[in-house]
Amino acid sequence: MKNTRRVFLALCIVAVAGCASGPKFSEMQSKMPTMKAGEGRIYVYRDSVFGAAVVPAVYVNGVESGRSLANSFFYVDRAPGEYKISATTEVEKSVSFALAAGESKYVKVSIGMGLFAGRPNFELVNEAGARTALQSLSYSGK
Amino acid sequence: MRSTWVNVVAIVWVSALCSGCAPEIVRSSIPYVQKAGSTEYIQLTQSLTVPNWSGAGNKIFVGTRWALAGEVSHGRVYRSRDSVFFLQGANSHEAYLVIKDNKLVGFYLPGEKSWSPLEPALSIEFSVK
Repeated sequence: MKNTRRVFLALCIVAVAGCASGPKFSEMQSKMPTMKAGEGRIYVYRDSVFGAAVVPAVYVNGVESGRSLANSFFYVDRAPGEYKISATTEVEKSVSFALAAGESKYVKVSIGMGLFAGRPNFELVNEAGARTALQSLSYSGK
Repeated sequence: MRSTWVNVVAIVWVSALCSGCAPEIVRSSIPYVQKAGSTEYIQLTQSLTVPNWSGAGNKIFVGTRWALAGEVSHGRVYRSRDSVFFLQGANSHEAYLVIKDNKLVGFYLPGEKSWSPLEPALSIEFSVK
C-alpha cells in the first residue's frame, strides 16, 4: 500500500513537472507584440496532459525554439518561407508548411504511444479551432 | 487469467505502436509557378475522400473553397481558403490540391516545394468562381 502511494506521488510529480506555469493565452494575448511587417507567426501548442512526462524540444527548421509541455504554447515570428517543425523522442516527427507574410500558422503537438517513450505527433489546425484551444493554455516560450 | 490480461495489454500496445508506423508520403521536388494576385477559386459541389497514408481517410467536404495558388506541370494548384489541409503519413505536410481535367491528380506540398501523386486520380466536382 505504501509503495502504491509512493509510485502515485512520483507519477504526480513527473506529470506536474511536465506542465507549463506561465501566463495563460487568454491573459496575455492583448499584450503580445504584433508581428513585424514582412513576418509571419508560428504558434506551437499542446492541449492535453496525456504523456505529460514527455517534454520534447521543438525545432523550427533545425533550430531549437521551445519545449512542448502539456497544456502549453509558444510562438515564434519568422520571415516568409518554407518551414519544418520537428521533435524527437524515440523517433523524429515533423510537419512542413509554407508561411506567408502576415500569416499565422497553428501547429498542434500531441504525444502518442511509443515503444519506450511517447512519440510526438504534429497537426496543422485552422485558426478558429486553434484560438479556442489556446485560450486555456499557458505560455512556455522564452 | 493473468496471461489473458498480458495478452490484452500486448495487443493494445502493438496496435498503438502500429498506428504510429504510417509510411512516409511519396514526394519529389517540382518547379512551381505562383499565380500572385489571382482571385479565382473553386467550390466543391461534392465531397470526396482521398486515401490517407495513415489509413484514416481524409475527407474534402462539399462547399469548401479552394483558391487558385499556382501551377505545376501536372495541373493547377489550389489552396484551401477555409481551413488548412494537410496529409499525414509518417510525418505531416501542408498540402494544396493539384487538379487537371476535373481530376484530383495529386498534391503540392508547399513546405517542401514537392509533388505527391494521387494514384489513381479521383474525379472532383466543383464550380469555378
